[in-house]
Amino acid sequence: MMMNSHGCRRGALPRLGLGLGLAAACGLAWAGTVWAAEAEAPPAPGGLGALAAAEGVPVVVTATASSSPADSGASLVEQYREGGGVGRQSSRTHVVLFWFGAAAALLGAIAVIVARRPMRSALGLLVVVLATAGLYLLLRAELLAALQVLIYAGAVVVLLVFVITFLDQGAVTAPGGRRLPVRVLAVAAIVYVLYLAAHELFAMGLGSRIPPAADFGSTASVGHALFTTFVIPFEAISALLLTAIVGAVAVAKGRADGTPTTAGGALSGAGESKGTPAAGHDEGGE
Amino acid sequence: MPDVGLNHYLLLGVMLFSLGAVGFVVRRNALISLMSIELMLNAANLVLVAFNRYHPVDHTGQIFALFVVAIAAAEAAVGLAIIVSLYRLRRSVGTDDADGMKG
Repeated sequence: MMMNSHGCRRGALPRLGLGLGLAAACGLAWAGTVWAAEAEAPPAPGGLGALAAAEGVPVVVTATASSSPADSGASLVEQYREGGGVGRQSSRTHVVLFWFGAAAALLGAIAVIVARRPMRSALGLLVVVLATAGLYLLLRAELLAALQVLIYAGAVVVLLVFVITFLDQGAVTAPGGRRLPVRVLAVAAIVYVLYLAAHELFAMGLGSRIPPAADFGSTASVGHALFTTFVIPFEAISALLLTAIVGAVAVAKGRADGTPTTAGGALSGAGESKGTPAAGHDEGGE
Repeated sequence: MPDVGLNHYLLLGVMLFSLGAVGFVVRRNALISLMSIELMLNAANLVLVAFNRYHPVDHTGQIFALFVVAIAAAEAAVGLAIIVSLYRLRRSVGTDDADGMKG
């Protein structure tokens, strides 16, 4: 195992960098395509155009906001009916981009769960994250798409890659999958769930027929809701993040003498051999 | 070309979530389990945003998804810290090696 991992590791770094760069480039190119398609959609009453205007020239925003809602709303309704509910984008572009993003997300997800090396799983997760960001753009959630790229691709996946490279490759790669019956059961369960979901979902007509407002999903309107209706959860989440930071540092740092803390030890069974005498030594590792 | 509606996004969300759930159950590598959890959270986010897009009376779904992203980031940080701690103790990231709480 160790020989194998060392043999693979020699040429792995350039290839890994290439793969990461390629995945990121593909994802960003796709997100850019969605962006361009959104921007060139003829009426473009809200969304990215409004976002750009809102950040650039506030005066223009107030002008358009006061003059245009009536006619842009009318054209929205018009197009909503024409496109059968896809909103202001041209239907064909939306469909093509959706299938592309869905295929990328599914392939990435499969790569996450079948890859033997965690690094390839992380690459798959990166593909999923970027594809989902593009789908958010299609669903007119621009702020969320940007935050998805920033937080998931920029922080979570990078943290994962960092930890994977930090740990010993042999140990990281070693645990394989479960035994065959477990796998077969899991796959059977997923197929059954998917069958049920597909059957039920396409049988009922979901979604309201309300066309979204012109500024639906724009950063300005989401931000407004975030700081008025949802201000208390927003503040609470900052407390949660602070707690998580402190907790992560406390768990990962360990004690001054180098032994992990009880929080880490409780998970892995060292707590009973050093911290709590009452727990006994019946199945201690050492 | 058939149109894409809420159903398609929901089905995609179901598929991503199921893949994440299967990955969490089947894999014994703690790192990949963590990534499977991220996959499931992503799928839930996609469904939230899709519902909000096709029921656009307010932005509740999008903001909920925003909170889920924040919680996912916190969970990844703490989870990775636990994995690093586990690795220090057992020189392994297998979830089967974390059996200290087995009675």
